[in-house]
Amino acid sequence: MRAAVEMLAALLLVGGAGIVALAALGVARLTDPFMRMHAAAKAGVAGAGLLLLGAGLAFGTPGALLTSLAAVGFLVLTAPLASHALGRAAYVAGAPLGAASLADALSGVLHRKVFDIDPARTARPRPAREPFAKDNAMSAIPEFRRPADPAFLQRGQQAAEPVALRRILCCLVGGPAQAEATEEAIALARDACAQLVGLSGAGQSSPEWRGPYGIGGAFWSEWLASRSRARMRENAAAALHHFHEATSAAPQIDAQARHEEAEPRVLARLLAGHDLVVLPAGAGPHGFACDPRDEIASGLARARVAPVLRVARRPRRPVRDVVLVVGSSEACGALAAGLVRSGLWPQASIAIQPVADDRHGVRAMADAQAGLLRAHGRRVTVLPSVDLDFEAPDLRARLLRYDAAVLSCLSTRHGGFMDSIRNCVHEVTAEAVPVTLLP
Amino acid sequence: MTTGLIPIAAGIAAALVALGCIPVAARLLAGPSSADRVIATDMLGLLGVCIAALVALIAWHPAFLDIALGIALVGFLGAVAFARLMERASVATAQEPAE
Repeated sequence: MRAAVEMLAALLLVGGAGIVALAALGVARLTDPFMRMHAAAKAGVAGAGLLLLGAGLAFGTPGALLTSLAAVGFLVLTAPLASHALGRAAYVAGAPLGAASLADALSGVLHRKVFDIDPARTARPRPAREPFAKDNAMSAIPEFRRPADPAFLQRGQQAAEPVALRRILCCLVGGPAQAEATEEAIALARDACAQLVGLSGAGQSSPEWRGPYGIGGAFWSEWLASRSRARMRENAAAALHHFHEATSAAPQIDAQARHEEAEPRVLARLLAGHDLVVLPAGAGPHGFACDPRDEIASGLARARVAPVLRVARRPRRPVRDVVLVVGSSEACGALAAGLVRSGLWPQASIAIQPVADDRHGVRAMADAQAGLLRAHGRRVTVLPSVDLDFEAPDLRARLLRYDAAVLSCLSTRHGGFMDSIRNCVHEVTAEAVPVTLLP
Repeated sequence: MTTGLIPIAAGIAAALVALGCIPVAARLLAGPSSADRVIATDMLGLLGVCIAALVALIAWHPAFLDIALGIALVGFLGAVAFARLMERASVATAQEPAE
C-alpha cells in the first residue's frame, strides 16, 4: 500500500514538474501577453497543483496532506482571479494583441490606452526642435526684451521694392485647412501667372536618443515612430491627390508636385528661391495639428527664407482690408516692407494696429511703416493701440472685418515654465483672420 | 518499506522546475511590455511554490509545505496589486486632457 502511494506520489511529482516546465516554456515562447498569461495561469496552476499533491502524498502524514491540499485549493481559487485581473490590466494598458487573435472582442467595451501616441494626443506635446533662434522681443519678462533697432527700419525701407510672384510653393502637409490652402495657392498662381510647386511630406526628425525609456520603451518608441510616419504619409498622399485634381482642373497653370522626406532644416533649405510659401493653418512639423508657435509656418517665418502665407480659410477676392500688427519686436518694423515686397493685395486698404505703444519703438515703427505704405500709394489708417492686457473676444470681434493680416510671428509665447502671457495678440489675429502673411 | 523512489522523483522534478525558471527569467528581463513582466513574475511565484514543495521533500521537513502555502498567498496578492497598478496608471494617463 505504502509503495503504491509512493509510486503515485513520484508520478505526480515528475508529471507536475514537467507541466510546470512546459508552462514556463509557454510563458517565454508564446507570442502575445494574453497567451503567455494563459500558459502561466492554466498549465502553471495544474502543474504546481499536481506537484503539491505529490509532495503531500509523499509525506503521507495528515498534516502535510492537509497543508498541500490547502495550498492547491488556494491556488485553484485565486489563480483565475489573478489572471483575470492581469489580463484586464494588460488590455487596458494597451498590450498588443498577437497576430493569432482574429478580432478584438473588447474594443468599445473597455477603455484601452493607445500606444500609438500621435503627437496631438499626448498630454504634454514635445515642443518641436527649433532650427532657428527665438524672437524674444515681445517677452513678458523685461530682461529678455530687446528694444527695436532703428537701423532695421532703414534697411527695410531700402529693400521695399515689389517683386513679381514667379514661383509659389504650396506645402502639402495635410490637416483641416489643406484644401483651402491648395485652392488659395492655385488662385494666386493663376492671378500672377506663376509657377506652382506642391511640396508634400513634412519634416522627419532624425532617429536620435530621446531620453530614458520606460519598460519596453525602445520597442514602443520604434513602433510609434513608424505609425506616425505612416500617418504623415497618408496625410501627404491625400493632400497630393487633392493637389493633382485641383491643378488638372486648371490646365493653364505651370504646376508640379514633389514629395520629400528629410529633416526640417533640409526642407527649409528647399524653400529658398520661392517668392511665396503657402501653408495650411494649424499644421505642425509632422502634419498634425499643434500650437501656433510649433507650426511649420512659425518655423519658416523665423527662418526668413521666403515670405509665408498661412491660410486658415479662403478670403474673399479681391482682398480689401489688411491689418498690420506692430509689436515691439524688431521684425515688426519690416512688416510693411515685406508686404510691399511680396506684391500681394495691391488694392487693399491697410490698417496698422500697434500693440502696447508705450513700449520703446512701437509708435515710431507704426508711423514709419504708415509713411512707407503711403509712399507706395496705399490707403493707410493707424488704429488706436491695443493694450497687452486686452480681452481676446473684443480683439477678435474687431479683427473679423479684415481679410488678411501681416504678422512677424504666429505667437509670442515662450511656452513652458516661463509662459506668463495671458493673451497673445499674434495668436488671436492669426486665428481671427483668414489669411496671414509672415513676410 | 519505502521504495526510495521519492528522493529520485523529487530530484528530477527539482531539475525540471529549475530548468523552467530560465525561460521565465528570460521573459521577465526581455519584456517587452510591462504586462509580460508582471505575468513572468506571477509565473516565478508559481515556480517558487513548486520549489518550496520540492525542498520540503528533499530536506524531508513538512514545514516547507507551509512556505509553499505562504508563497501562493503572497503571489496572488502581488499579481492583483500589479494589475491594479497597471490599470490605474494607464487610465490616469489616458484620461488626462490633451492640450
